[in-house]
Formats: sequence, C-alpha cells, structure tokens
Amino acid sequence: MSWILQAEDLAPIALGCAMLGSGGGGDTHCAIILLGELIRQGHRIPIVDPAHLATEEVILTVGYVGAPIVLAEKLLSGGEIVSAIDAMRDRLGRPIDALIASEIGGLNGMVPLIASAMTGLPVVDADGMGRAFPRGDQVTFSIYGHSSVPAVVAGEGGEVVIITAASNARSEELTRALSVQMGSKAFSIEYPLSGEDVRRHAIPRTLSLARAIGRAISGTIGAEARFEALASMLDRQWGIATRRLFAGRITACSRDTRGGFDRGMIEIAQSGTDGQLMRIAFQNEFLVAYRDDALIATTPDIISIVDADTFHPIHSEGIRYGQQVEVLAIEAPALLKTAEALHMVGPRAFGHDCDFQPIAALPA
Amino acid sequence: MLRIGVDVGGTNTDAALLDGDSVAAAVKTPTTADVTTGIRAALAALIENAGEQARSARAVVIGTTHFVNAVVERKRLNRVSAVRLCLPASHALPPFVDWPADLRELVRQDVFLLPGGYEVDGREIAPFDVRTMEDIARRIADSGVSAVAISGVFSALRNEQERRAREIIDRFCPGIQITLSSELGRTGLLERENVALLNASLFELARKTVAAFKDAISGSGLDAQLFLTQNDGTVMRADAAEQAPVLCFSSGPTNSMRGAALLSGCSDAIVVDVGGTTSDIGMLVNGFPRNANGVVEVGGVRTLFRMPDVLCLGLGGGSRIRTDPFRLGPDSVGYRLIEEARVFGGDVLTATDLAVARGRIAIGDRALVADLPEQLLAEFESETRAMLEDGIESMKTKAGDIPVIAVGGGAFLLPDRLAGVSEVLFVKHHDVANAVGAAMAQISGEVDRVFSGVERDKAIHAATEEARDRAVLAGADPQTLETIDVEDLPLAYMPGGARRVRVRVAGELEAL
Repeated sequence: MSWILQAEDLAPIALGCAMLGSGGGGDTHCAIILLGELIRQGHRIPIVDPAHLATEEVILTVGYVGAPIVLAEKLLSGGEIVSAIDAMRDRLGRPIDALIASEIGGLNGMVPLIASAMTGLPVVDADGMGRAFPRGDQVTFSIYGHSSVPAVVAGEGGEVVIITAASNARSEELTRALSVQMGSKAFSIEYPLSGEDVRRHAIPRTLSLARAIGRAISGTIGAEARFEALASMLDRQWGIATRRLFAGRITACSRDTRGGFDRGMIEIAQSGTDGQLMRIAFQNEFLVAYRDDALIATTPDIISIVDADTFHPIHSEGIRYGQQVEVLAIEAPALLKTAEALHMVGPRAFGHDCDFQPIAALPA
Repeated sequence: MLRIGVDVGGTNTDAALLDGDSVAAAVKTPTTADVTTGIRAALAALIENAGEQARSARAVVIGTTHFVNAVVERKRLNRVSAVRLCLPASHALPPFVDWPADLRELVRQDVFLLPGGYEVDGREIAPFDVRTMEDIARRIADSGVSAVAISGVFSALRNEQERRAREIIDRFCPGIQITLSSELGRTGLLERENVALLNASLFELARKTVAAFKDAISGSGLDAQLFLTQNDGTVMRADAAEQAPVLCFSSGPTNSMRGAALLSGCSDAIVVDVGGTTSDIGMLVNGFPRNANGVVEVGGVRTLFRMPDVLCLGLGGGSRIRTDPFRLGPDSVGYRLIEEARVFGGDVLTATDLAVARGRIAIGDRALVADLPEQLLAEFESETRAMLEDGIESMKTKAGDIPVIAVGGGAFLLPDRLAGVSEVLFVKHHDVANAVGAAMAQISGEVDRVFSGVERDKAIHAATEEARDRAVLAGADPQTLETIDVEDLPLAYMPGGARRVRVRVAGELEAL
C-alpha cells in the first residue's frame, strides 16, 4: 500500500527506527523537527510500496555518513541533498524515480523522507538492512551482488564527489574518508537500483513496520501491555517473531573505541542475589546476547535494550550503570538469514566465534 | 567568617547561620507570593534566633527557584533575539525551532543566521563576516530588544567568533544584555543555544530579583554581600548571577546535597532529600553533586549544560495514602499537611500519619492514628522501601553498598536499613540542609578548553592555573582552593594530539 507521510507519523516512525536500530543508528530528534517543519510548509512526502515499482524505474539509496557528535552541531539542513541528486541524475543520464533508505535503523531511516521533501521524489517503503549495521556495505544490495557505484558524496559546503569503478568495500572506505574531509558529515548516494532490484532485494515495507512498532509501544502503558501490543501486532500483521529475552538492571558496561567504532560488553542482572545474568556484546549495534553464558540471540536478529517502563529503545552510547531495562529480540527478515547474508552480517562477520542462532526457535 | 544561607522553596523559606563548619542557628518560615517578603521574614527570624552575632555575617547566600519557575510558568520573561554563526551549515533548523509554541511566542524577537562556526577539528566553516555582523547589530539596535543570545557551530570547542560577535553588538547596542552559548552550554548546538536563549530571556527578571534581594538584606539591617547558589553547588556574586540566571536553575536539590555533606561529614554518598510532595535523590562526589551528562528539559526546552543529576520520586511527607487497594501518592496535600493530615486532626491519610503510627517520629497526636491496621503499615513500609531502593540503585555509577544521607522535612520516611546501602545517616538540622548548603558558600573557577601540541600534564597544569585565577577573581581565598574535577578528553580526529581539558577548582569565600 502506498501512503502520504503525515506529521503525526513522525514520532512513531522515529521510535520504530530506534527500535530497529538495535542500539545503533543516529539520533532522530533533529529529523523529527525538520520533517515537522517541512510538512507544515506544505511539502508532500509520498511513500510507495515496493510492489508497485515498475521494473525499469531508477531508485537511489541515500543516507548520511558521519560522526554523531558532528550531527549534533552541524544540524541537518538538506542543501547538499539536492546537489547530490542532481549530480547522480547527470551521471546516469536518466531521470530518478524514487529514493530508498540504506538502513531503516536510527536517523538514516528518516533521511529519505527529508530528501523527498527537498526534491519531490517519492520514498520506497523499504530499506537495505531492515535494521542498522556499522558499515555501509552491509546492505542486502551488496550481499546480493549489486554494485554501489556510481556513488555520490556531498558536503554542505557545496562539494560533490562522484565515485566510479570501485568495489563496494573500497567505495565504502572512500565515502568514509571523504566524509571526514567534508567535516565528518556527508550525504551519500549509492547503489543505483532498478525497480526490479528493489522488489527482489530490498527489505520490504520497513517504514510501515517502524511506524507500526512506534504506535504499538506508545499506544498503551506498562511493560506487560507494551510488550503484548508489540509482539501480537508483529506476529499477526507481519509474521515476525518477538521475544522478551530478559528484564533487569545494567550492572556493568565496558567500552573501547577502535577504528571509529564503539565496542564493548554490557552486563544486566536480575534483581535478587541468585538471579540470572545477561551479557550483550556490541559494536555500535547490539550483536550477541548470552544468558548465564548460554548463547541466546545473535545478529542479524534485532536485539534491543529498552527502558523497562516506557519501552523506549536505549542507544548503545546511552547505556549506564543502574538503568532498569528489558531486552527484546525481533526476528530479522529472511533476506538477512541466507548463507551469503550471514557471511556479511552474521556473528562471525563481527569476530564472534559462534553461529547465527535464530530467536524464532526460542519458546515464545 | 559568619555566613547566612537562605533557601527559597515552594513551601518554606529556610535560613541558617554558619560559623565556619558549624550551624549557629537555623529557622524555617513560609514562602510568600512575593519572594522578597519571605526572605526578609526569614532573615528577621534568624536574627532573632541567633542574636546579635547574626549581624556580623558578611555574606548572605540565596538559593532560589525563581528563575526556573519563571520558565516553567511562562511569566516574567523578556524577549530575545538570536544570532547564530553557522552558514552554510545548520540553517534549516533555526534558533527556537524545538521550543514549545507558547514559550516561543513569548520570547522570540528576531532570528539572524550568518556565515561562521567551526568544524569538529577547529577549522572555520566560514570566516567571520564583520560587515554582515554590523548590519545585524544595527537591526538589533533598531528593534529595541533588551537581550541577545549568540551561538555558533562547535563554539564549545572554539568561541573566538562568538566573542567577536559580542564585541560588535556591544558597540552598536549599548546596554544590551548578551549571552554567549559557549560560556554556558556543552556540545550539541540546539541544546547549547537553548541554554543561551533561556538565559537571555531571564535578563530583566534577574536584574530585578538581584536588586530586590539586596534590598531585603539591607532592609534587615545586615551589612553583607549577596551571593546566589548555582547548579554545581558553589556560589556566585550577585553581579555574576545577573549575567547567568540559568546557572541558578537547580539550586534547590544542589543546596540540600551540599548541606548533607557538611552535616554528615560524608563527601561521597547518596543524598535523599524528602520534601512535602517529592523526594530528590542525588549523588555526592567529592562533596559536590554529580552532573547530569545528558539532555535536561526545562519547561519543555531541551538543554545541555551544568546541571546536577537528580532523580525525583513521588514520595513526600504529604503524599496521600489510599487503602483499598493500597496506593502511595503520587498526589500530596503539600503545605496543607498541618491542617489535613490525620495526626493534626484532618481527615486525609498521609505518609506522615503512617510514620507517626509506626513511631518513626513524634509529631501531632499519635492517638489519632492508633487505629491503623498493622498490615497497612507493613504495606507502606515495603512500598517506600522498594521505591527508595530502586531510585538509589539507579543513581549509582557502580555496584557496591554506599552510605545514604537523609535530609529534608520528611527525612523520617527513610527506613534505617536499605538494600544496597551501607548505612542510612540521619543528621541534626536535616530539615534545613538546603539553607546550610547555601551558607557553605564555596567559590569555583572552571576552564574548559582544547589544547593542541601540548603534553597532557602541561595542559592540565595550565588549565588548573587559569581555573584558580578565575576562582580568585570570583572571590575565592587562594589558600583554600582545591581541584574538584579534572576531565581530559583526547580528540582523536583532530591533528597535533589535541585534547580537551576541563578543570574545576573550588575554595572558601575570601574574608571580606
């Protein structure tokens, strides 16, 4: 189903994007305000169902690359979006039909909406991750053999750089290096796709999914009711399994910043002296969860740590000793669970010596 | 040196006279609608209680929620124009963009964006444009607005451009009040800018309030200098407070925590301040309140600046108790406790009534609550315990038992033992801990700067020296200065081994 974005969709979508971010993805506060302003000014942001895309349509994958601290100072303004899309249109020599998010998790899930308001192009209700991952080339489009180039990187100073003839991994490295040069915040367009590519290899309807998750969590009060609303909605309407892995308090969190990523281990304890213990390893996103040393959930399933009362997801950077939390797991989409996908986004791809352990196999 | 501390709360205005580290006298008086009258009454009561020695006090330190209340109530605020150095970045989300509409309508005058700001590595996004700034300054002068807030991208790292903008506005608009975001807030443009905007909107109120406080002091026959308490637990001279009223926002909980440290002699502990309606839980580190490290909302506006990390629970002496089924609060009879509570002959069952029935405190008439069933008392006990243990645990930064200091008028609601707590300290003068905290009157100096090409030790040394100079300039006795906070952050993405160093020192008020 296709729809038009409304102002009242913004808060639930932001909440859902944070949940699907699995502890990663940028802060959505500025995106909510900016989109609210754009809608108020009369911009119309159409969302198209991937099933409605014609085979030959041209779709661009968009998102921001940069450091969170920079996005907190150099606020989203979108000027670079228009020049980047113009550059890509010139390069391809064809009109652009729609935009798609590289990742639905966090801020980047909402960036195509801003780009749509700036350019009038519709946004495909889908993305390339179904969640968030640390690297830009951990998208289904790369996993299933699409080339990320030509790619465009644009800074807010007006510079536009086109990358051609590079492997997906190399293009990712160049994009990151360029983003640093551009003040650690750059708009990126990559993976020019056809309508058919998107229909086959994008994770479908994730914008609608984010909105549904946000609505389910905020539509009721209390942890029991919130989980029940979320799990039954995901099960009945989406066929997605959800598990409540743990409830307790953060008792330790160790961190280490290496290679531009924030890595570490979180420990959560149940109340009482003989309660169970959960440990969760993260690299920006929460990746692997152990309960009393038994492996219980792994990437690509979405592990989310939420406030025990509001169910609002907590970013991995925001984890602190003493927080009362629940740990939820949401089943990853099928496209992330094939052998070739697990090679790129399974636990071993992040250096964990274990295999993917689907949460859908756990008792409900 | 004798100092007087005054804490103006929603219900009571408390005053204490401190001689060195000991409490010479303390009083509790009702807060009045006109705050100054209440302060004058409190000072009069204190002088009567303490005798002539009170008149030799040379400093009166006032902690007030006046400024934060003005923001929350949307009253007594002046209009503000905003100047942001950012173009070509950050233009789509202009100043005031995330404010609640009613507050924005009340405060926003004009908004100006101009080229400038810095990259994360300290390079200029665009050079400072003198001509454009002068043009903006002329328009500000023409508008007649009384206060301006200046912000700039990454100004918390470098603020030369903000300072140049201030010089120009100062020249074109004599007498205007100017707030720089870099002098008050942290990294996070919108939130730091919001702090500056709020500060500027309180300019006229701050000037009037300080003048009224000075009148109250001289009207009480005291020959003492006025100080205001600030968010970090230290105090600032009245003229500095006039320039930075936002730094007084959280003086209530801060004063209680400082007072608790003095009264207990314990400088690393959790403080639970139980009032009439709520309890504030905070953490003392080195005798000072721990800072919040995230966004704090004030009157619906997101801010990022020096604020204490305080957790507020719905537990107070006046909290209402329902019995069928059992429920504690969250509503309270507040200051009407002495009329409405059962032990005072009223017909509302409150937390105080249950504490009296359990023999925790002897106030009112215990016979009036003799009929309360044992099971209700047990339920109350376990509910209170659960709330407090939960709150205390979430304020800790690491596992392990830690002492708790119980202060505030409702301190008797705390049990003697709590899980995760090594001991619960009940102290004398607990009900005026906030006024005691104000009277402690420590003066601080802070430096927060990026050093490039300097070794770590040298950078910290240089920052400490400058922080000491600032504290002395603000009125501290150099002999008593101690370093209370050192933060050292290597900036990996900046060339030349740059590091950001933040040093805070504090010491006694110099004898006047």
